[in-house]
Amino acid sequence: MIDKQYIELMNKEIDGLLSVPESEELKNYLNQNKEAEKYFAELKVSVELLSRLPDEEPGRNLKQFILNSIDKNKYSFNKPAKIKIFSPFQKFLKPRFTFALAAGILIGIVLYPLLFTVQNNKMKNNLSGTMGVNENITELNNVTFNNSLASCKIILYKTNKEYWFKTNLIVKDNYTLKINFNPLDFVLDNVSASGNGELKINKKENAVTISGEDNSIFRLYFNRINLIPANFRISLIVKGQEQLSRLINIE
Amino acid sequence: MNDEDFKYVERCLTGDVEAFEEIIDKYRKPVFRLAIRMVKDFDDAEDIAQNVFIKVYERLGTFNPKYKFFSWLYRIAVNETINFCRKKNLIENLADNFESSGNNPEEAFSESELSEKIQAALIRIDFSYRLPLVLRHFLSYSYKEISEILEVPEKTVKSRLFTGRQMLKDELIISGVKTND
Repeated sequence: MIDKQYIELMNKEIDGLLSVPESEELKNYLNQNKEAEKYFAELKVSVELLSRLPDEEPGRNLKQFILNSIDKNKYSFNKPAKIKIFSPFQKFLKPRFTFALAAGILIGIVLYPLLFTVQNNKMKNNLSGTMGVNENITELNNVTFNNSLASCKIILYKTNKEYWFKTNLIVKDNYTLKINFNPLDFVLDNVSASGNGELKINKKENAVTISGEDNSIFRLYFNRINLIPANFRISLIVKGQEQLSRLINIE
Repeated sequence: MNDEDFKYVERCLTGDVEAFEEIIDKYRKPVFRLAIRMVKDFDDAEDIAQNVFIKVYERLGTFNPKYKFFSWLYRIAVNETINFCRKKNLIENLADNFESSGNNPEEAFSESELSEKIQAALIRIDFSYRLPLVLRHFLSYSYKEISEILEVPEKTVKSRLFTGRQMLKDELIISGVKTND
């Protein structure tokens, strides 16, 4: 039989909270009670064994999934108001500012042809600069599907950095669209959706599932992690039955 | 309240999403570790961690700075874990998924087998005793901090912790893990 009072002392010892007199008291008790000594040894080893469990790390995409799932504008209405330039000395500054602006425009009109000509002559044989380039958007692949339950068109686009699906779905019943991908190849960046009825979007590391009840249009954006060939699988389930399952390969 | 956490919360509430990223960076590992010790499955633990941070973000406006931010966050994590386990019927049935084996105390286990047995023994412990064990031994919280997270008196934390350790010892012995070194 082990006294309850000493069980508490044993636990305090495990937590490193025992005072010197308490420690002496426990030591004396354990010396006299073999059952208690065995119990305490087993208890200590059991707790020590917990430290043998390896430290588990969350997946590297967890943060991104969380950020993709929150409404980033939720608190934006609380942003501090911008400081108005004229507020303290408005009456004093405003007429002067208006006058300075008008004068500047006038001077500009007068001087512009002169400066432009001079500059043009100087730079005639010495042109350099940067041109804006429209990012190249390519339609990669498209999947169309029609039957009495669903009409679906999914187009896969790519730019230099991203892939996205534009999906038009006309379904008059409960549906689930699932896109599976390898998280080593792609990271789901964002989903924008609009449609009739409520859409449920469930994002996982390797899949995104969208469920709804009616016509829907949505876009799913993925970032590509590497440039090796990869693929997506698109599945559409309507009324609990798989209507479409297609593997899309990306070189 | 921790000044750093308080600043993050204040910044979040003025629409600064980067401050929330700082909160995620600071707490995602402990929240995930709490979850995985309670549910064992990696994907389930990640789902729980994800939901915890979504709820934290949604409820930031209701956070009372009189309290510690981490206690508030872990309370959400604990509730989320409990809800998740209830939904998956894990609280009552989880023990059934781990059959005890190898009653021979002399049996030698490899490191991974040993880890598996320790985790299984931990999972078999009743939820209300497992939580203080996880918070104390994996996240190193004091009795007082655990009492704030679980919203129970310190006396109750001690009592559950002591009983939890006793249960762990018994489960490890049943599993054939040597506890008498």
